[in-house]
Amino acid sequence: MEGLSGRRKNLYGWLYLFVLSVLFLYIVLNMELWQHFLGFLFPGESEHVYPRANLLTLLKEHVRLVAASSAAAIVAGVGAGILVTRPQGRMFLPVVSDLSSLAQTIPPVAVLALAVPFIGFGFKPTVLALFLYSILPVLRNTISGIESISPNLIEAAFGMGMKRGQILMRVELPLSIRVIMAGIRTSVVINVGTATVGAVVGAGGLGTPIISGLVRENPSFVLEGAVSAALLAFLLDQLLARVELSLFRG
Amino acid sequence: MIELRSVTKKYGDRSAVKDLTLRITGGEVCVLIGPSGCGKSTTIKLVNRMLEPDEGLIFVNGKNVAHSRPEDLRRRIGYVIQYIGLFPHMTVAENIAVVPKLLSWERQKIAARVDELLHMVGLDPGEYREKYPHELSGGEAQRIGVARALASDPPVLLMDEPFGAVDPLNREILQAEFIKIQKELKKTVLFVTHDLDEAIRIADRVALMRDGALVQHETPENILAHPLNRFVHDFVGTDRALKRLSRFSVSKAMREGYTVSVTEYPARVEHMLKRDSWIRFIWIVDERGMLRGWLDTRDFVAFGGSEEAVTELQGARFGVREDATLREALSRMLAEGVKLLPVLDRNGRVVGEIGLKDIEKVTEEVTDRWKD
Amino acid sequence: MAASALKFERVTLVGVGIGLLSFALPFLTLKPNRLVQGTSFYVWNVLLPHEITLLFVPWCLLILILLRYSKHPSIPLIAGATGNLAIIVLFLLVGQAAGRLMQFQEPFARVSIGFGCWGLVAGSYVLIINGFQKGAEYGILRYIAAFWGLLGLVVLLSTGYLNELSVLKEYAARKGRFLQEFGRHVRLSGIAVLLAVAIGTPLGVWSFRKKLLEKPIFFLINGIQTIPSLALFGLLIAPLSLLSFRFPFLREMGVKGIGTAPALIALTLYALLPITRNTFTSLSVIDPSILEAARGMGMNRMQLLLDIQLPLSLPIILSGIRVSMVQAIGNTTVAALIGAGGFGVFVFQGLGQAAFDLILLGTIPVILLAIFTDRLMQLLVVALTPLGLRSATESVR
Repeated sequence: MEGLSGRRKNLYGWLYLFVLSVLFLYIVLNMELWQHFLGFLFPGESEHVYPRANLLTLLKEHVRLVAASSAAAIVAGVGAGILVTRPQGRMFLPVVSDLSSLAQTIPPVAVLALAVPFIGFGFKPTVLALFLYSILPVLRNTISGIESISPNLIEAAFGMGMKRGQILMRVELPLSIRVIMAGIRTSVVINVGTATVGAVVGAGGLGTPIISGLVRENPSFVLEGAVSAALLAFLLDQLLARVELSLFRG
Repeated sequence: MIELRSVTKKYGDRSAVKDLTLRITGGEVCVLIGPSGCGKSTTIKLVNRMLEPDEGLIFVNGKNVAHSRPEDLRRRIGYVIQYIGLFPHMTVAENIAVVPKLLSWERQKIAARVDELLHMVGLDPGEYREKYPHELSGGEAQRIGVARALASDPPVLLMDEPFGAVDPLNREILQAEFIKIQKELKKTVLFVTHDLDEAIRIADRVALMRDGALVQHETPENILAHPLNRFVHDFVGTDRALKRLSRFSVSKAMREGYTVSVTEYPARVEHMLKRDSWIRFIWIVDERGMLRGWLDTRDFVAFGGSEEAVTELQGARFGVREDATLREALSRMLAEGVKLLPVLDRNGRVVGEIGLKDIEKVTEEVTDRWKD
Repeated sequence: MAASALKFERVTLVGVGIGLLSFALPFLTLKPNRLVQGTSFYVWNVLLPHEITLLFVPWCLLILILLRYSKHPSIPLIAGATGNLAIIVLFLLVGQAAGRLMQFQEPFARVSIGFGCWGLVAGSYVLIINGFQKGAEYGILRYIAAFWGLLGLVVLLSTGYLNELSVLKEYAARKGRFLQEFGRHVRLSGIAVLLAVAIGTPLGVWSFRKKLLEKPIFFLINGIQTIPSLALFGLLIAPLSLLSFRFPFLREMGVKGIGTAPALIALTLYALLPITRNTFTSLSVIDPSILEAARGMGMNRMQLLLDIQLPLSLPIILSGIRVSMVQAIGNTTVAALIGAGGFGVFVFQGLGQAAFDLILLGTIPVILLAIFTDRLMQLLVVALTPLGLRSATESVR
C-alpha cells in the first residue's frame, strides 16, 4: 500500500476489520455451513452441531466472560502498573511483580475450582479466574513501557513546568501506549482460549460444546467450539491491532 | 599487493563502484578517501568478498580472489572495522586467537602469538589477556581489534574507518602507533577514512574517490601540491599548503647553523665574523651542545663583544626537534614571532637551524593551476 | 521514627497490617464430614493463652522494628526473616489446634485452614518477598534469611506434625496415587518442553535466516496459542484414535486416542511459542558489527552459528525455555481431563465431589512445582550465561 496517504490507509484498515466482522458473524450464524463442514470431516458421528444451545448464544456468553474479565484485568493491570512506577509506589514494585507472576503460575482451572465453593458456579468464579490469569501481561507491559521512558524526558517535562499528573497523561502514557497495547492484545487473545474452561463449572460459552464433545467422545462438537473460539480470538486480535495503530497515529 | 581491474558494483541502477582500476604495491599504505557515498567502503568489502563485484577482477598477491573460498581468503586477510566487533563472550586472548584457531595452529603457538601481539599494540599481556570486552575502554578495544586482525600475520590488511569511533586525542595516539607498527611489519594496507588529516598522516599514497570512480591516486604531497581538478582542489581544502608541510620533516629542510660554546665566547665569534662577515645569528651552547642562548651579530658589534650582547634562554624551550614536521616548525615560528629556529636532536643538542625561507622552498612547489 | 517508617517502609507496613487483621478472621474450620458446611473457630477458640501470645510474638517484633525504624537497608530483610518466624510459629500452632479439634471427632471429620490463616500466610508472604528483593547486597545471607521458614515448614510436614489437616488427610488417603500423578505431571511437562526445544530452536534459527519463513512460521505458532488448550486436547483425540486403530504398532507403544499421546502433542505445540520466539529475537539483537567482524575474519556459516550466535543468544533462549516450562506445568493440569493424569486429576475429582481440600491437594503441588522450576531455571540461566555477558544481564529477579 505504498504511496497511499495515512488517512486512506486508516480507512482501509477499518474497512478490512468491518469485512472480517461481517464474515465472522455470517459464519457463526450459518448453521448449515457448520453442518456441512463438520459432517464432511466426521461422517461417522450422529450429531454434528451442538444441539443444546445455539452458537450465537454461546458466543455471546463467551464474549461476556472475556469482556468482563479483560476489562477488569486491563484496569487493574494498567492501574497497578502506573501506581507502582510512581515514586511513592515504587517500593511496592517487587512485591506486585512477584504476585502477578505467582498469579500466572496457578492454572485457571485450579483457580476456578478453588473459587467455586465460595462464590458458587457459573459466571462469577470464571471471571475471577480469568481476571487473575490475564493481569500479568498487562501489568508487566505497563511497567516496562513506563520504565523504558528516558528519565531525561521526564526531567525536561518537569523543567517545562508540568505537574506530575500532566506528565503521566501527556508524556508517560502516550509514549508507552504501544507496549501497553501489545500486552493487552496478548492478554485478551489468551483470555479467549482460557475462557473455555468456564464450561467446566457451568459458565457457558464456547467451552460448552468442547466439554460435551470430550465427554461424549464427539470430536465435531469439540471442533465447533474450538474453531469458533479461534476465529473469535483472531478477530479480537485484529481489532486490537487496528486500535493500536490508530492510537499510534494520534 | 592488491589489484582491482575495472571493477563495478551496482545496487539496482546505481553504481557504487564504477569501472575502478586500482593498484596497491606490496608494503604500501593506500588510504581511500572521499565524500560519503563515493564507494570507498564498498571497495574495501570487494577485496575480501564481503561483497561480490558485478564486473571486473580482483587480485590479492597475484591470485584472483574469486578462485578461493571466501572463508579461506578472509583468513589470510586482516579486517578491522569501525565498531570493531569484539566478541563479548570471549576474553581478549580468545578474541585474538580466533583466526589462528581457524587455521589450526598449536595451542602454544597461539598463546605466544597473543602475548606478542598485545605487546605490539602497547598493552600488558598479563593484565589484558583474561579481560572481557565490556571491561575495556574505547581505545583499548580498538587496539585489540588491530591485534586480532594481525593475529595470523596476514600480508594484507583491510581497515574500514578503524579509528572513527574514538575520541580525537586517542585517535592521534592510535595513528602514531599504527605508523610505528607499519614501519616494522610492512603490511600491504588498504585503509578507508573520511578524515583528510588522518589520510595525510599515515598514507604512502592517497586514492581519492568520487561517485564510485578514482579521481587521483598519488602521494599526499603530490595531491596537495597538484590537485588534478576542481573537485580535488576543494576537497583538500584551501589550506593545503599548510597541510602539506606536515608531510616533511625538519631534518630534510634544515641547514647547518653556527654554534659557539659559552667558554669560547667572545673570541670564537670574532674569529667567525672575520671569516664570514655576513653571519647574522649564532647559537650559544654549553659544553654538552645544549642551547643556552643566541647572538645577533649586530648586537655583538654594538655591545663591543661583551656578554650583554647574548640573549639568554629564559627557561622555556626554544627551537624545534629535527624529527618534527615543517608544519610544527612554522607554527613555532609564528608563536615566537621569529623567522629562524635552532634545530635540536632528541637530547636537546643543537644540530642545525631552519628558517622561514627554507619552509617557503617547500611550499613553492604547491601550484594553483589544474587541468580541468 | 515511626513517621519515617510510614514513608519508607510501606510494604512492610502493609504486610504487617494484613497479618494483624487476619487475627480477627476464622483460624480453622471444622466439618463433621467433607460435604457439609463447617463451623469456624477463631484464634481464641482453639488456642491456649500462651499460644496466642506466641502467635503474636513475631508480629510484635515487627511492630517494634517499625516503631524504632531507622531507614537501614537491612530492615526489609530482617522483616522478611521475621515473616519466616511467623510462618513457623503459625504452622506449629495450627498443628496443635488441629489436633485438639480432631480429638473428639469421628474419623471422617475434617479440619481445614481458615481465612485467618491464609491472611497470616499472605502477610508473611509480602514480608518475605519484599525482604528477598530488597536484600540483594547480602548475597547468600539473603537466601537464608528469606527462606529458612519454608525449610522449617518442610520439616514440619515431613514429621507428620500437620497430618490432622484435611489436605493432608486427603493426601494420606491416596498417597500412592499422589506420587504416581506427580511423576506423570513432571514427565508430561518435562518431555513436552524437551520436544519443544528440539523443534522450536531450529525453527527459530530458520525463521531468522530466511526472512520469507518468518511470517508463516510465527503465524502458525501464534495461531496454535489461540486454540483453547481444552480444544486442542480434544481435537487430537480423533486423529490419534484413528491412527492407533490403523497402525497396531502404535497401540503397542501405548498411543491411544486419549491419554498421554494427545496431551503430549498438545503440550509440545503450546510450548513452542516462547522458545521459537526467543530464539528468533535473541539472534536478531546481536550487534551486527560482531557478525561482520566474524564473517570478515573467515568464519563460515556453521562456525558463525555455533561459536558466535548461539553462545550470545543462550541467555535469552534459556529464558524462553523457563517461561515455557512454567506454562507447561500449568497447562498439564487440564490434561487430566482427557485421561493423561497429573495433578489435575485431584482438581477435577475435588470439583466433582465438592471436596475443597482435594482441589487444594491438586492445586498446591502445581503452584509449588511451577515456582520451584521457575527459580531453578533462573539460576540455570545465570550459571550458563557466558562470563563476558554477565555484567549486562546481572539481576536475579
